[in-house]
Amino acid sequence: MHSSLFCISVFFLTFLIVFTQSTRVADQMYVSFDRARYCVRHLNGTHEIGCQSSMRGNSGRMYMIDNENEFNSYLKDSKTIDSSNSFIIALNIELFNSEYVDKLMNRLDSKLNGLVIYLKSNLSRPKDFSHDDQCPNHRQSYYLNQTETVHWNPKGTGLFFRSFPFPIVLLDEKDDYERLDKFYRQFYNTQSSPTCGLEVKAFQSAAHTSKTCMRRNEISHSLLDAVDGFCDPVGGLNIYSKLPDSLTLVPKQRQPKSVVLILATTDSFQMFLKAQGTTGGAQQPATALITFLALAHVIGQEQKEFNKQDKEIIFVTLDGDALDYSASFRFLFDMNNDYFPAGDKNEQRIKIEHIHSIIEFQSLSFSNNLSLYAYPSSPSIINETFIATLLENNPMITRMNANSPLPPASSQIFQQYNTTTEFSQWIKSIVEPLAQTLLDSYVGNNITNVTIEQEIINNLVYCVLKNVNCPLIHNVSNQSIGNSFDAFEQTSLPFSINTYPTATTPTFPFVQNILSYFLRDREYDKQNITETKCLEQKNNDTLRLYRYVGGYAPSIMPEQNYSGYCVRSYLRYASSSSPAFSIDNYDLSQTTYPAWTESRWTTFTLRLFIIPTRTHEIVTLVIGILLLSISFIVFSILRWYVKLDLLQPSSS
Amino acid sequence: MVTLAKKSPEQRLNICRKYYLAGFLFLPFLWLINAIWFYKQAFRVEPYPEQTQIRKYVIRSAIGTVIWLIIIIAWNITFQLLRTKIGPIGDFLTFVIPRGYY
Repeated sequence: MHSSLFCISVFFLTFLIVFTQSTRVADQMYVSFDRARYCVRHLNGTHEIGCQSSMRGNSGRMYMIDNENEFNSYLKDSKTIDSSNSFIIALNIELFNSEYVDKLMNRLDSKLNGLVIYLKSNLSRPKDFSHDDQCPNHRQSYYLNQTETVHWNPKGTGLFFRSFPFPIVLLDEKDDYERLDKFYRQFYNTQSSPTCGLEVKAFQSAAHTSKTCMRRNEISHSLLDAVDGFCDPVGGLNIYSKLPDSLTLVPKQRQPKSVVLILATTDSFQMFLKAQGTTGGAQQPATALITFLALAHVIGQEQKEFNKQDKEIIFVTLDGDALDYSASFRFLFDMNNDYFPAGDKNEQRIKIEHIHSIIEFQSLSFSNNLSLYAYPSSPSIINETFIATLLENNPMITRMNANSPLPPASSQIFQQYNTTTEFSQWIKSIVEPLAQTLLDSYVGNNITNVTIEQEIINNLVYCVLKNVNCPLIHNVSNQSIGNSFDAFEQTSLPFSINTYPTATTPTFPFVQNILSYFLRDREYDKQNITETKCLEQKNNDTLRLYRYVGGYAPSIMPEQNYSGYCVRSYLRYASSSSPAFSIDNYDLSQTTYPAWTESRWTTFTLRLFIIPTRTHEIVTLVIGILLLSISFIVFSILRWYVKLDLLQPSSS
Repeated sequence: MVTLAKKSPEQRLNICRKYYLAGFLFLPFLWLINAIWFYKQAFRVEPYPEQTQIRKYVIRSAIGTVIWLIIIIAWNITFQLLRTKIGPIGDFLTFVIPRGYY
């Protein structure tokens, strides 16, 4: 009797488990949006900015506002606003600026529990989307006591620098908007019908100021060794490279005014970031970086000529200038403290007096007019012949008046380019005259026109703007580094606010490998060296980097064609976080150096659910209580009348 | 479980005294327990020779408890109000640092 009962129940249970589709109730209740971008909290020496949600998430009734008319009617609609204690407003991206957000915050006050900004489709991207100030980095204006505030970025909303007590989310994927809209239309009828609700979780650990937060990072009273930080300093790597033979080694003295720096930035302003996947910021640094790398290739091509003269041309990328020029401060700090160039002490350090000139690529826009801002530290120093040669070689450039105010890094919109070939031809037309000018100015003799292969620029454009996991990067880096790019297939090179090393980005290995490859010693291309022999070379030479790669064909002279090449190059990198974080006992509330930090966070979620009507809720509750009482009654009846052994507690 | 009724009066006095003396080692809960547990013995039971002593200890334990209560409440209020206003010391004294809030 017992065994057959047992068999039947086992059979029944197996049947249930195998043939029913088990899903969690929670999955059926919520619709998640996994590809949303979230606003995080940043801190500096004195303030906190950004957004914050409560630890368990902010939820509220959803209300969608698509245009100005709907916005105005919502503000007047007291009935809707009074109907719920908290709202999460889904706002069209066109309406995301300080005017509308302020009006909303004033009207709703503490009822505003979150904002979800949506982009309807890629075709309707707003012409301007910048949340930087109208005069970016105006807190650190160092140029010749410039007092006038110029609005370089007139479309900047300045919203990045405000502190919001609620989370803000950006939905920029097309089907996310469609899903949101579909559910909203389905349930938005009258007051009494069920409505949609949204829940946003974007809890930030950091608070108050960088000073407080960094101090709290160190404190840990727990007996277990789990020190979980609150914030991380903003910064990445400043990478620099030059021709491997243009070194000044001890005991040779470095001549004053013998170093030319060529600069580009690898970070960009970004208000919304993604939890996983790429976090690209504005694409504006991309054009500058592509031009920078192409120029490096030309210098590498003509290295025989450049090695004849004694000026060192160093290519430097800075990471962290978007927020108050932290990376530049760090670069200068390193220079003053004998840390530039980093590494082997046999190479003479570079100080300010050794710098001849600085050429910086910034805010290159795809147009036919380029502005040249020549900034001398004092009027007599400016090298007029260099500028004259440059203007002669490149008719696109117009020189700005020496008294005109200087531009900071302006945050431009995502560049809509029609065809890459048009764009890459334009890059070629910038790089070649500039390289020609450098050659004419520093090497002197009239060399024939320098050119760069169009294919190289096309490949750079493809890698940076379309797909980081491109053949170029695999050809110029060794196997293990090349494999690390596989995770970034079909994504563009991310330019964002970095917190290295807490968060890693492919931007640094990308720049390191390509820059050092382009400036490599071309003599090594002619030699057929095995991998082991190549790597052995570093035992004899501590100043340069040796690696074995597949080789990038467009860059190699046509005669050589080996299966692998040994690359001899010069590469250094140093942390680019503000000096505020590396000076001992530095008080982070001082304003000498910028002290930006980014908060730590764990999960970001955005979910949609249905808020049932009041009657529905009451009915659910009553049924629940009824079921509870019925089960109690049934069980006590069973216990009273059916005295089975199973129901008795065993006493032992 | 110790039931005082089963103990002889000397044993009761002994226990009461031990609790009283141990409470001086910054253990106010011992005083609290002492006062509550021996209250009946001190004031409600028919007198026996040790009762005067027990009564003395119970009263003193009660006074000690009240003093500690005042100290603890005062410190609690001070800490909560001044935690963020006294600089780094506030953070070093905090055992569990709040996340996301100052």
